Amino acid sequence: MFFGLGGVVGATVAADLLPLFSGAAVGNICDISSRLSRESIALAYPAISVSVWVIALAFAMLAGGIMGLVASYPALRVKEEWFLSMILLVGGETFRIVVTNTPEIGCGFNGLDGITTPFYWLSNYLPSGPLQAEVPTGLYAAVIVLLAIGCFVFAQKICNSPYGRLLKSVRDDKVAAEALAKDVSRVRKQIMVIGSIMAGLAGALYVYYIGVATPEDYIPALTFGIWVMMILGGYANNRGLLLGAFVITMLDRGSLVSGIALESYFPTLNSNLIVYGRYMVEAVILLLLLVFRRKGLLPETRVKTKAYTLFDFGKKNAKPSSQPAEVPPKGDATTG
Amino acid sequence: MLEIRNLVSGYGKLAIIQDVSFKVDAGDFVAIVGPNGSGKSTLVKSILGLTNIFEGTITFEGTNITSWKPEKIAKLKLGYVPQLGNVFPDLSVSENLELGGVTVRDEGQKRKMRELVVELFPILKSRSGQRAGLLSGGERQMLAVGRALAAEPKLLILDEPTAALAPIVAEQLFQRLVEIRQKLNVTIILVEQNARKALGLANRGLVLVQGKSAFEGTPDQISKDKDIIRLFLGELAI
Amino acid sequence: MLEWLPGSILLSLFQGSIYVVVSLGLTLTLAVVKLPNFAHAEFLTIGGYVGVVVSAVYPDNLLVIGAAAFLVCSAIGLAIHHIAFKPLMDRKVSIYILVLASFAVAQFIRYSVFSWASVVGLLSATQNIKVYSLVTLYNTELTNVYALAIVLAILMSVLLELFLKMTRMGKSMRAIASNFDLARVSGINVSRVVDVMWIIAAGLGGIGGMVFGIYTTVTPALGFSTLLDIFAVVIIAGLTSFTGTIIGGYIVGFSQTTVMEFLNYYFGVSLGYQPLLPFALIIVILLLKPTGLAPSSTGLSTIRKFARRNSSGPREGEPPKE
Repeated sequence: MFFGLGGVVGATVAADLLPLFSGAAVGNICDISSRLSRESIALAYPAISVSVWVIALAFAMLAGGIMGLVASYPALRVKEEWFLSMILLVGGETFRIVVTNTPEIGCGFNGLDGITTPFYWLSNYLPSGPLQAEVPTGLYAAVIVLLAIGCFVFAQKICNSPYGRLLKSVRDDKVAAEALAKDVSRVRKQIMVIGSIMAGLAGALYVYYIGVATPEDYIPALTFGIWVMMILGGYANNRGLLLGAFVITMLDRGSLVSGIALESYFPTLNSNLIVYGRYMVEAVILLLLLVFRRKGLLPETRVKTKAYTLFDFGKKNAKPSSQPAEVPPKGDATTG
Repeated sequence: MLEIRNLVSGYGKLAIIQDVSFKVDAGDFVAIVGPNGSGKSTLVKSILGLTNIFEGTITFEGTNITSWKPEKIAKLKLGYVPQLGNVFPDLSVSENLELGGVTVRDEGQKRKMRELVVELFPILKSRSGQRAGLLSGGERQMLAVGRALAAEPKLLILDEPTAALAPIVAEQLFQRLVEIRQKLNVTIILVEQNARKALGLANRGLVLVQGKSAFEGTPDQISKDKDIIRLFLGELAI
Repeated sequence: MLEWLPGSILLSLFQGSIYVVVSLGLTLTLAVVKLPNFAHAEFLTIGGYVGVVVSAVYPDNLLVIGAAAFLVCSAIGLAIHHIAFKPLMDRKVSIYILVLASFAVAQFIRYSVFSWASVVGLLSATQNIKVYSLVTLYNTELTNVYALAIVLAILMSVLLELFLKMTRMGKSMRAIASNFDLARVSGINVSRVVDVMWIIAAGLGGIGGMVFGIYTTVTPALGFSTLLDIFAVVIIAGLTSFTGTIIGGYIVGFSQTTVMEFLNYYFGVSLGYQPLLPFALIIVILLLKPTGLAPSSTGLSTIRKFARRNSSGPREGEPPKE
């Protein structure tokens, strides 16, 4: 939902600002002529192109953050944990339906296209040939990788800080965290806003990459793929997520490539089957993980804060800090 | 009738019962006593297949029932009154009694048992259409015992049946247990906090401490052993 | 000026009846195995497609088509229970894991249907069942499909009620819903009862889908598009109340059709926003009254107990608190 929101907002902002900055008339951003003018402006004015991109990203992050704040209101008040997934599903579908049926937002069902990468103008300075198209895209991909690394480092920093420890405590035992005078709902709200800002950023980056923003792209199967990434790598674990994302993206690209290869051998093959097959494989992966390896491939690790190094936890000569699991409980722990 | 040998059992990977052995003969009234958290409930749950058994064997009337499923064990005519959740709160009293006897094949026998239950606990008859969740604490315990009896058990296991009851209601329930034992000739295992009361009714006692059998013998032997009393049952217990 | 109203009410009743039939199955799943089965709506798709295939061979033979839809969905329901859910439930995982698993099952079924339909060229299909008008009142035609759905909803509700209250199997099912561990130690054959539960729940989904498929075009996304509506119904019902499900079904049916057409007619709200009304119901009820509108005996408390029981290792019986 936040991912889609970022995409649509980013695209709309870009489409509105490009002509505005370049002094061209702001017409209907949805029709075909505006698409062509967007492309020509992006080609002609490098500075405007890049600055609009930055502004669009900022707006997408802002929109993601605001929506995260709004969504955190119901999400934090539900009584059962699975109601949360219900609320987010409803939120995602609401977003899709509203965008589809409201032409004022992102041009409704048809979506908004002609969003070129911020380095599109480079092709002016390049000799014509395959490079002309590849260099701006490649450069943009490099920028995305940099931003992704930035987000990863940021997330790692958060997780391995006292704040990260607070997050874990809130997740594992809300009551205990409350008893230690931690404002649980504020922490949850904060983290939801941070998460949705990142998702908004990702959405805008994605739209700039593929060039169009249509609501029908943001189907539940996309969210599902992200879940599989998360659980595959081991959730509550940034490194695991990285691994999961890598595996699922390989599956995605691999299925595309193999699809093309298969089609060249079997021209009668239905190309849809490759996409469907990929979704089915994702579902099977998730089920197998849930049944056989619920902690994911990389299990959750200890929080690495100052306290960690201070007491040498986890090293061989550490003092026995936790009890082995097989010790029978004393007192009234389990039976009565 | 029931024989437990070197039992190690618990929940998940956690062993709570540590190497317990004891025997129950037909017609016995065994009281299992011990402090909070000593594993009394876990021990009886192990008999019924509700725990993970790591080591040891449980034999009932010559059949090895170790690690059987609870629903299969119930068919061997073991009646069980759990400490908590001992009735179906959303079903009526009569439905509770009916499902208690789900393992009894013979319809005539089933009716006979239900008549007997109603005779023991007349209150259940007047409440028969009511939802069990709306019964009072005492009525609910009576229904729980009645439900277990409807299965025509050879061995009746009760897990702290009087835990949340007023003393006078608890006393009535104990009287009924004595009556049941005389009338139906069932073997009874009673888990109790109130050691004095339980040992007073029983002909054999088992003291459980930290998942281990600390003492086994007749109530007289237990009440004479000053160490057991002081260490585990409290000064006032006997 | 109200000439749209009778037709709209009839359509609401039809929609509501379909929701009732399908949601009764989901309510049963929630009550007995405490599973918010997000794959339940896929039975609707399968039922619809069974209708398409069987009606091509036996046109207009509602009994054969309905039975086929019921049986195929029952078989699939049993299969997903034994392949996906039972191994997880035996491991006593949290309800959150079960929800994820049901999403995975839903996605697998959905794209299996997509693949199959795309190979045989039935991505959008219709059933070979003739729709004709029975009576015409206030310029509104009561067609056989409408009548069928309404009769079916009543019939299924009554049959289910009788089954649960009168038969040994039904009582055992309620006993499992009420107190799982006690049902086991009482000697109720839990796995057999749960199998029967899946047969009924999935079959109801299939029949609902088949009847819905007479009225609308069958696509592989048919189930998913009604998923949240069905969940709106059971959430209104407080998750495990059958009476509540019947009321909830008609509330959602009316909100989607009559209320929406009213908004469209007088306020010019685009009909494209139609699915948003059940969504709004879900959010409002989850926030304000998560026990649902219907007075429910077990309701959320059972789900909560289940969640607690599974998250805290040892399984203790729950206090019979009301």
